Amino acid sequence: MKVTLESSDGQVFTVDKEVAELSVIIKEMLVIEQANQDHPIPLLNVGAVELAKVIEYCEHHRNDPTIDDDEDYDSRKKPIEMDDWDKQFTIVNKEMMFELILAANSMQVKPLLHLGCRYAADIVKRMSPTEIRDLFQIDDDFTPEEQDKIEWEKQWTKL
Amino acid sequence: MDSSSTSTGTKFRSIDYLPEHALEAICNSLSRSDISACARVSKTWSWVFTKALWKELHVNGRRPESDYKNRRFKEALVKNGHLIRTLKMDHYGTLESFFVDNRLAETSQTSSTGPRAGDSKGVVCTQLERLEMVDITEFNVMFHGFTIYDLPLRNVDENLLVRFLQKTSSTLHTLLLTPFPCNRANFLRVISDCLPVLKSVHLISTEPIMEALVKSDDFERFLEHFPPQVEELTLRVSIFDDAAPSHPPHATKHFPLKPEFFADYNTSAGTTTATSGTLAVKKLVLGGDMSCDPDMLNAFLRRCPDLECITLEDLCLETFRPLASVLRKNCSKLKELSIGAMTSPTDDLQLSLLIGASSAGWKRFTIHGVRRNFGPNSTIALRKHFKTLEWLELPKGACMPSQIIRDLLVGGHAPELRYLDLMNVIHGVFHFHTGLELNAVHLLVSPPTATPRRNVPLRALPWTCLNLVYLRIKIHNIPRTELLTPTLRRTSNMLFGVSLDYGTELQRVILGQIGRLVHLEELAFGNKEDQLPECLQYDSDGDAIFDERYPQCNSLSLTLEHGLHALAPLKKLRVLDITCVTHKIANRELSWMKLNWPKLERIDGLLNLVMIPPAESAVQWLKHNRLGWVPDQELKAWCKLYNL
Repeated sequence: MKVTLESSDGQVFTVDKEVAELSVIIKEMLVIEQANQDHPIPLLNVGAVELAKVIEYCEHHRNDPTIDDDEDYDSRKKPIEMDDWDKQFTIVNKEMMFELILAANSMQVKPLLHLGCRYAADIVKRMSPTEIRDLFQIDDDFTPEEQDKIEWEKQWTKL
Repeated sequence: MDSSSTSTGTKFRSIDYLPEHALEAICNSLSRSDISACARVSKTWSWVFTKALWKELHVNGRRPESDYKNRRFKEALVKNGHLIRTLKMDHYGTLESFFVDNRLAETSQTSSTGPRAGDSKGVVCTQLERLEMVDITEFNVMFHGFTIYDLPLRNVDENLLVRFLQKTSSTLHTLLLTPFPCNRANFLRVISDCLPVLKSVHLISTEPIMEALVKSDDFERFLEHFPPQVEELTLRVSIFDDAAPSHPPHATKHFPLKPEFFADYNTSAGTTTATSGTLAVKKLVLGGDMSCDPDMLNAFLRRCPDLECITLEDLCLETFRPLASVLRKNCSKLKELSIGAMTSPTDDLQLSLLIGASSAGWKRFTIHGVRRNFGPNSTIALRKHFKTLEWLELPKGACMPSQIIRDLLVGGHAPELRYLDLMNVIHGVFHFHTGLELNAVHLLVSPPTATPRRNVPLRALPWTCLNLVYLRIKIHNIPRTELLTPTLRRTSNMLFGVSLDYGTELQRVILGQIGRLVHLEELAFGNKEDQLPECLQYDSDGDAIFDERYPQCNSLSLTLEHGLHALAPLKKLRVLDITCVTHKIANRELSWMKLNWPKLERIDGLLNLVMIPPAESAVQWLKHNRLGWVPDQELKAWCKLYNL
């Protein structure tokens, strides 16, 4: 069975139902709108490029054991293992990856969300605040006093 | 490329739109130093990542204790305390003086005199790990270690608190409840029933606590179950809570307890080895607008044979009077006395009896706010305790013969003295008709009866109180002739034969004496409560013009010219208080301090002093060297004023 999805910019994708159901949101929608499957499901927060990428991910992971329990994604547990395909998949530019995180979040594709988060974490790892600012083009909006305060406060939280 | 990077810039700035669990996942893959780097990126990022940082607080026993007594740490903790889910502690000693409400400042000081970890007979709390007090934090309760702080009573689900207390019951040994829910019968039961290792109880209420306790039917039961091992008990009516309908703070209300109430009391059997009917209370604080029936107090104190420390705040005269005999009869182990009888019309004799009440000798003696009651009798009584005295804090307006101060400082009569606060003492012995009241310095460095002259052997009396860790002293009226008005200069020349250099020479001597006290950690020359009147005007250079009606303004000048060098041996100095000192500290002095006092954390009164604006160079120096010696806000304000 096929499901059609519509991205925010109007592009329509047709995917297998089991693929689409990796997204918790779509799965729930399908349950609700069972009678009404001719219309594409609108995904207002997700652009076409990202949606294509999400679908690519879901296609690859369609046979993964489904994990419904939120607990398994609990941040305290070990992160999900990345396979080679995932590693390849994450070789995208950082802008794309961040879009993917947001897309995965709005569609609630949890494994992808966590994959993205790990990627995001890898990016900022061992970077100084200045480097991060340069990378993401963020303005430093601290006053020197605030900067100093944070610098000072961090010592209490070191392990 | 340009447009795409701009748009992603916007995206990344919206990192706070990420759901909590995503952020948690990100933070989990990051080390703490990475997270703290992220927290310093921008305000938004800071907001997001600070949460992660403060989720776990590790109070590390290997860190110096002073780190946790630091004002800035407290501020940070107050700000972020609600984020803490996990509190790891491996050294209780670092905490005890800290995890206490500021309102209990005295209590905390008391306990900071020595490491307490060993005292607690092995029930030291080593870890309180994974303390997921989600519910509590949602109720906006600041969870501070062993202290439940500012409990918003109306909102709190009692069961949650009960659960919390039970959770920590095996380790909880200090409990502070403010405001104490007097009217929650269930709560009292919880305290008494499920906290077997409780050592210290501080109940602070906004209503007359005893009254409320007695009204509640459960109080008898509460006392019945009152953990017999509790060593510290505070019952205080807080007068600080504005939110609560306030009672007139000093309304004289009698303790509405029946005298036989305590007499009837029996400890529950078998929980300790203590003989039936006795409490292990070693430290008792009674405070607020609470006055109690002396008979009852007597009965209560009889139950506490181990009482070592008693703090009495605002007791009424009727209680005060018989107290001395009550204490002498019942409490042979008393070592510490602290009186804050702000309104009690005690007299010198009453006070002297109270001071004499300890047979063993006071180790610690504090009085606050007794005005002019500390006279000759009290002084003589106190003198008997000099041998054991470690801590002495004298009240405002205490009249102390100069001989006593000489005994303390140069006579070697108080070898144990660690903490000395003479700030409020009036050295009323010498009054000169010029209006120049002689000050501590003259008394200290010259024989008491001699008129200070140039030829007085100033160095003949070296200070012997070399163990002092804390010293607060008022040193002023230094004949700094350059500050005197011409009239006064003539007078002082006539009287003392003071040369122009005399003031400088004297200062060097004083600083030299203080420089001998190598253990000093806190040194205060100022007195915040005693703000000087608006007696000063400024000349065109911004220097203060001193009015001769207020000669007390001629205080120490902590400049290198005036012998600051002599303080170089004070390597342990942490806090310097120079409020109300005409210090004239500039950048040179500050550099010197940085070099010579490696442990210095704070200088009070450098920027917020009442009389003189700080030197511009000093402000500049402070701005440049961010050492945290002065509050950021004040520094900012002065920088603005000087256009720095």
